[in-house]
Amino acid sequence: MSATADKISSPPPAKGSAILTASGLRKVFRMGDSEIQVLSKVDLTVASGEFIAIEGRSGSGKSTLLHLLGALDESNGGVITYDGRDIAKLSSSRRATLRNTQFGFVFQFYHLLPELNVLENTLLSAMIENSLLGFRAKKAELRNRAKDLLTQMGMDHRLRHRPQHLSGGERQRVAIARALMNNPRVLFADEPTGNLDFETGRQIMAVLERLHQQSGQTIVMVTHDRSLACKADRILVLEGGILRAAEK
Amino acid sequence: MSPIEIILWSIVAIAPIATVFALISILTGPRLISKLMFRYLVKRRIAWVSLIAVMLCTAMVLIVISVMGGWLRMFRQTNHALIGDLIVYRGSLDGFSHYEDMMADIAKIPGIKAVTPTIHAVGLAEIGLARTPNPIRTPVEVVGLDIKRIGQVNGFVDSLHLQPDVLHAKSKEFAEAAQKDHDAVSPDENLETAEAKSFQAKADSFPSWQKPLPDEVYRDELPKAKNAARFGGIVVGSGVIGLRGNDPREDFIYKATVKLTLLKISGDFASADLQDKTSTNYYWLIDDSRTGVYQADQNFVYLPFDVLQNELNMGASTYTDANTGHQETEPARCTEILISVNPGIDPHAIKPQISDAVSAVLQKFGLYYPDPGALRVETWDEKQRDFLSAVEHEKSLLVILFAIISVVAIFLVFCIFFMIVMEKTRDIGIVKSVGATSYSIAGIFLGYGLTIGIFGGGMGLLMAYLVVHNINQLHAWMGEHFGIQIWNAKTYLFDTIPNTMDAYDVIVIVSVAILSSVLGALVPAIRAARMNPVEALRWE
Repeated sequence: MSATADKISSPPPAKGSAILTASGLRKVFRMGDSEIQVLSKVDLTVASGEFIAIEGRSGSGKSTLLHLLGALDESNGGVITYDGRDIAKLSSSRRATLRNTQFGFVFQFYHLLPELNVLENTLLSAMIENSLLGFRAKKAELRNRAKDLLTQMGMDHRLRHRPQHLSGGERQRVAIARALMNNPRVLFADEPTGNLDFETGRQIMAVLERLHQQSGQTIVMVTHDRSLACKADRILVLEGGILRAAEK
Repeated sequence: MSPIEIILWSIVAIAPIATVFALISILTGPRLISKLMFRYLVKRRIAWVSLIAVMLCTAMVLIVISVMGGWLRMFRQTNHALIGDLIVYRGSLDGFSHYEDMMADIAKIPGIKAVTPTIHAVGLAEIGLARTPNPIRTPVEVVGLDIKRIGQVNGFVDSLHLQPDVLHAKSKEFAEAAQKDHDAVSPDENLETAEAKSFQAKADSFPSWQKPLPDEVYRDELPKAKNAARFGGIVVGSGVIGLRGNDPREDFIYKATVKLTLLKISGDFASADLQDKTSTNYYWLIDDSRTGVYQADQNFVYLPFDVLQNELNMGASTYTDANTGHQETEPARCTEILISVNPGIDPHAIKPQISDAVSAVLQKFGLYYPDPGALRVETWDEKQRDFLSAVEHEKSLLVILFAIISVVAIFLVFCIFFMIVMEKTRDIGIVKSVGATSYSIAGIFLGYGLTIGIFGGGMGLLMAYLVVHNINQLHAWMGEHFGIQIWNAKTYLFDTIPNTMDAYDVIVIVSVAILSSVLGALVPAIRAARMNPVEALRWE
């Protein structure tokens, strides 16, 4: 882990303590003269080791909320804290380091780089964290870690394949392996099965559930599918820009 | 400084900064920079267009500058070699007198290495083998020089074909041939033919006006001319007898006669009456000279200084003054004094002392040469200044043209990189979502530009090297197959196209190619770095 990451990260909180919080979160999109308020007052606390599902209709602002929580975007109001620190007060490079070392992202459309093969895509966050020489020094270790993750995802037989030669399910497995490469404390999953058929989606959800149950991985997942949301410890519904708890 | 100048200089200053940033990013930044940079280079074929553009621009500039700079260098070197370091001359064929006094005074100046007089005259040469019906008839410029001294002043001696090693080889060749023929009859006898001895003697006395073949050969060539063996030797420019480059010299060319008719001009000569003022004599062609200067090689023939001086009646003579009845002495004349200086001495710095020495002699003997035939002292480069400055101005013009070409290359790289950044918007979002900083993103595209510059510049250098080093063969091939002749020796003075590259030019041009590529990538790189990751991920 890089020096910058060390400064950002603090010792892992005890299981169940708050790791990520949002209070009074507001996000407005401007379309010409008009304004669309997507999030009006969102409050959220994510505990360490928790699996949260955020449910909502299309266009309700689920992905926007995930981007704000994952330090990918900036809010128009409210505070997000990670490990007790206000993310908005971090510089853009510190936020990038946070995304690299503390967070992992899984997107609906996989978002793998077409120029890199499966193994290289998995190593992406490690290639960002390490310099040319640093990566060379730890190359074997990092490659072994990536291969282990891909083996866990059942992708060890496609290491040299490019994303365009993989099925949707396989791409998503690679995306999950990539997200886990730097041991993130929070894994953000944005409609991870939204682009997959039922059976493949079920398999991907099984992977996420296993991660949560076996490794205690903190997961924040957004979905519009109640049956998938039910796999989480807690379900929250985003409606009218406000987040509320929902029954399983 | 005007606002435009400020903008231009800012751009010039930004290019190396961006290049250093790209280098630092590749070496110390995230591994992803070098990974994606090279992967994009291999996979994105549109970038090859910019790579080829940089390559072609670099090659074109290098080839033109190398040929032009090489020409200028050759022109300077050959003219320096032909003239020496300084020259005292008159712009008139009747020359000037008291040159020996001038030479004696010039030789006393500290730093002077050698001084020698030469004479330039015009003539008509008829060159041919004694027994062949079609001689070459051509107007020539006849140069009289002291072959023993000229080598200390300029490079004329090096231009001769029959150098000592060639003469030794010819001598050996004759001896071995004779030995071979004779071995069957008398193997123990060590034969040294007259030809072998003659070539050996010429080698031993090199440089000299000595004939390479024995006297009897010349007698046999012209049996009717009783004094044929006593004809003097003449050296001709290689082009005068139709030789080019390293054409082989057959032995029969040393049996050729040169009938030379000279236009004589006396010191008080006022009109060019050729009937009364010509002298015709015969010489044996003893060697050819190839200076590399087209004009000299095509037009010059060379005679011993004293021979030409006598033929032109420019030697010292006595006459009776019609008015006084007294015996008067007409001093000897030459048309040029060539001077060389010791190593480390600047010819420009020593020139005033030489001018003073020349002026003192003129004053002492009450001589006055009015313009346009005034007696001048000039350094070798001043003598050629009209030509040199014209070519240097042309080179400056080319530099401006190449600056425009660089701007075109920058815009081409800019357009292609802008397209690549647009095309790779989603990738930029992905990489940012995984934690790449804006600096890293900028590093990827600047590094990409740097790589294009290095590869394009390197390939351009290789291409230019291959073209420049084979330019004469290429030119000959183009002429043979397509009838294209770009290089005209009459226009460019040299019969070969310069084929060397200057290290300084290479460093500057390749560096500019690299900087231009990085500069072209700069704006797209900044745009990529400033992208919002969420907007980039949503890019369709």
